Amino acid sequence: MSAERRIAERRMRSVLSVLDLVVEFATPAGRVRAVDGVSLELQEGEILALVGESGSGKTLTALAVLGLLPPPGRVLAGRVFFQERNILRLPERELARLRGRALAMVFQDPLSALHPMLSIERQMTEALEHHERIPHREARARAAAALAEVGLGDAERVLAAHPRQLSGGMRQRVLIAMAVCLRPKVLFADEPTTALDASLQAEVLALLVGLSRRHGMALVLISHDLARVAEVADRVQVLYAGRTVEVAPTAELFRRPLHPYTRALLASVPRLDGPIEFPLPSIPGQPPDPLRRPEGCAFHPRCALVQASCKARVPTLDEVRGASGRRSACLEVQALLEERA
Amino acid sequence: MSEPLLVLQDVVKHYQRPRAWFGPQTAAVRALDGVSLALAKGEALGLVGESGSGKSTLARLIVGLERVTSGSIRLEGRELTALTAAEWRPLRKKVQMIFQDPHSSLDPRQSAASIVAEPLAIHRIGERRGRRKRALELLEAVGLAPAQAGHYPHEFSGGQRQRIGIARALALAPDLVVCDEPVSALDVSIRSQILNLLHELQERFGLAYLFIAHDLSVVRALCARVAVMQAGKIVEIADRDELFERPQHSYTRSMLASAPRCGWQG
Repeated sequence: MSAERRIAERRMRSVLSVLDLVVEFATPAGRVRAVDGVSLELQEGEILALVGESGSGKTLTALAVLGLLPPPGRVLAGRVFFQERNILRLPERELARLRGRALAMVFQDPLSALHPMLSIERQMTEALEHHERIPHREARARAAAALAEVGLGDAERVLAAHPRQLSGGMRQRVLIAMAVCLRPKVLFADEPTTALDASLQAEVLALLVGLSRRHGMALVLISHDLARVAEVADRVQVLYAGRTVEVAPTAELFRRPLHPYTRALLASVPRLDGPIEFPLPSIPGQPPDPLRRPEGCAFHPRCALVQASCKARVPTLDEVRGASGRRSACLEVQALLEERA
Repeated sequence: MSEPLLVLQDVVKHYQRPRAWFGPQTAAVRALDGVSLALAKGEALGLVGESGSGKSTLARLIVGLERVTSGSIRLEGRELTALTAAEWRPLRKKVQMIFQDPHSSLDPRQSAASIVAEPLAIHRIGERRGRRKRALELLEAVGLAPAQAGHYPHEFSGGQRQRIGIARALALAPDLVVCDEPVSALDVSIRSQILNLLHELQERFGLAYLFIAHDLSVVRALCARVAVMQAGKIVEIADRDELFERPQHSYTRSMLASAPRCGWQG
């Protein structure tokens, strides 16, 4: 089967496909291309980790798909197919109907994502009544069931509460319940555990994974923490400076990273076992300023394998010769492969 | 054996909840409930625990931002808890702090050099030119170029801002630096750079660190000894290898079990 045919078949089975998305911000200092040609494929029920540092474009990719880009951000190019429709071309009214019911998002900070003055009952039932046009009593029962499903068994007490009366972990569960009670096909979770303590992080991730598996809901875990999300994701997509540098099934990515950035990132995560030797492996330099991205491959000033061509040409995300099914955006990927062999 | 640098004995800190209008006086929150520990000169002690366990309260007591309810804190044998504010002042030079958020902990209207020189000015050390020279040396020691000395915080990345915060903490040549989550706000690719810097500075200046973090792998990299806090108490304190390989307390074990494990062997 040819590569094109395989990609085409894959797309047919996709619940969501994003093609060459470009997002720009007009700032006083110039135009910033925050997302620079990101593509993304999601199968039904699949868990994808979208990983990158601050400024890599991971959150903006999700916001653009949902039509929630904050001004002055705008989608300059690209297509987003959901149920065979390019939803970027939908009028706002229709997109609003999809948002919540088909595509939902859980934000990082549960305190600011909830209205501080309204009860949880009001906030949860409002969305249900609006989207499903059901009476309050039925919406309330659905909300209570959703709370039970996210592990908030004492639903009556939670429904009556205001956000400040709940702990951080409970607020995050409420937001997840709100997101899933409309049974979306795709859930974007933006750093869903970053604000939580370590033991809660594991619980909340397990909860999201459970919901995804139980309802066949595709899940996009947006995170800077590769080690944390990799434990649960089927695939990992690594972004750097607005572009995808590597996509791979999780186990394969960890076994053999095929982009110098992914490799350096994995090496620089401190470990819980093994010897400690200083200096710890680290990536030199800083993530690029979005206004002054380097020419060619944006990672080249920090890259251990850099060649002259890396400064001139932007690498595309291609299948790696000699590593079937793997894709990487690196001109020196063959050197990396040989190094490992 | 000489006196350790810092000794805490049975430190208790209670906070009174604000009383509701006409409401009854409620029980105090026991932020710290009898904490004892000792820190030797040049030692890095990690302090881990979940939010609300009392880590940051402990830090605030040690640097003198708050007072203990009861118990004793001794620095080089000197009891700190009974000191007046004026008596504290000269001792503050010996204990400095690095904060979590490099965005809000630097004055946006001051250049990097004047941020680093400010502690010297406050303690009236040297004259203006000498202070500036020292600030430039410190910026260089933390890996910033002299050309960047005149830049303002917004012109630096998060990692570079944290370097400025570290240089400021070193200005008064402290013996002890309390680091409150110094890398948790930084990008993953920058974290190990800053850990390397902290390690290098520790060796170079003989610094002792009290290193507060919730990320166990970060603590493991930098600290030879680790204390685990839960609900205002230290539930376990041990050498690094002992703690990570043979945790004794059930709470330590559950913390280790829920930490992510990076599967890549390098």
